[in-house]
Amino acid sequence: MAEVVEPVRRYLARRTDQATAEDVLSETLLVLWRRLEDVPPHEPVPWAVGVARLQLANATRSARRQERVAAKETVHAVAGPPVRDPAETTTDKVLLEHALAQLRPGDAELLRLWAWEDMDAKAIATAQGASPGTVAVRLTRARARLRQQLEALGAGSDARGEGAR
Amino acid sequence: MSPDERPEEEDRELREHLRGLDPAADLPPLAREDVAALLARITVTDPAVRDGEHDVAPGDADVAPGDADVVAADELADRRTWRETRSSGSTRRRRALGAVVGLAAATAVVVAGVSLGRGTGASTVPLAAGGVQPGAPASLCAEVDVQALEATTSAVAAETLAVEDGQVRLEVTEVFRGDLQVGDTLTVPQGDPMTAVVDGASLTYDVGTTYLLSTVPTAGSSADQAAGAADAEEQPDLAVANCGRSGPDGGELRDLYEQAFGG
Repeated sequence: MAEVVEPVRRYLARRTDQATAEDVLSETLLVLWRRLEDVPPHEPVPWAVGVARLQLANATRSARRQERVAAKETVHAVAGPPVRDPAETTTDKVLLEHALAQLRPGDAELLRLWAWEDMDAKAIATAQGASPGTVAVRLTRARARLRQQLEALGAGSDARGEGAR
Repeated sequence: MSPDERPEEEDRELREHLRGLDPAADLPPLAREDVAALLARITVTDPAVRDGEHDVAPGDADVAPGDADVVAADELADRRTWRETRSSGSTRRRRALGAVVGLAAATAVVVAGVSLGRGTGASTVPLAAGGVQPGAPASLCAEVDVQALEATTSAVAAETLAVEDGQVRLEVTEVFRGDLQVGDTLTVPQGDPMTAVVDGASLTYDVGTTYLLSTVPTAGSSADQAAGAADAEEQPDLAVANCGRSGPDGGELRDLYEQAFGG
């Protein structure tokens, strides 16, 4: 089970505040411990990320219920990446952040799982409880939409990942 | 060139750009001893020890990404469904409430929840739904008489306030016998309408209807208490007495209650 700790911890750190991430990490590990027999032996990390995804959704609901407004904003960070100070980033990064934020949440999350969690379509499918074929199609479309957004924002070909063409 | 035909190299480049936005890029990994301590804490403190709570997992809820509310709602629905299933199954393994009279009494108990907590003011008291469960052989009930009622441990009249998620909530309106008090809330699993016509079946409750309910100790309740608080919390001490000893208020049953309990 130790192998999933760091990937799940990072998945959560990317999407919520530190306190919530720690709580949800513990809850996720507890679920894994209880359901060890259900964990796919060849892809424990995507499965664990899928558990963390649902646990985080539950935490978000609880946070809303308790009207923890300040925490709620950070708990719900799954809706988009944190806004950075443009002075700290390159222009391409700013454009990429904006482009990602303008995608549909589902598309943006697919791209985050693909890039940040280093998952392919099969792993994302496991994490989301979806079919690999469907995820592969959606992932391709999400990449295309991101490129379209970048183009609309005036990003160069390099920022769109088209420098290799 | 269509999006589907983009070279892998371009996708790799886009991926690298996206990684540049990774908010956890600078997050140092946990030390090995911290991981070990975390896992030890989980495995040592888990009260359910892989046998208890329902947990959500990928595929449990088919929901679009980012739709946290729907995920949570589906999860809750899954939990409710699972708990009902589990309650019936696990309890069936643990014990069986003996037959009232007669043959092949496969009376099971559907557990509702927490222990009986008596104190000042109104309490919420879970009851097990005594009675034949779906698929089990029927009891053969004797005719209800005063002697049958006198064998019960408590008897009340209670009005059904709500039926939600397979659980019935009733308020005690009259006490004939036992520790229950007027104003107490009773919770009991709803009976299965499919078995309602079976002799000895669990009651099915209608909202707004008042029922005369008598109770009997659940089988093994003493052993449950001795087994420890955690386990005992899952098992009500009382089950609704079936075989005609409980039912809608009125008529012959009301007369019997008043005769048996001096109402």
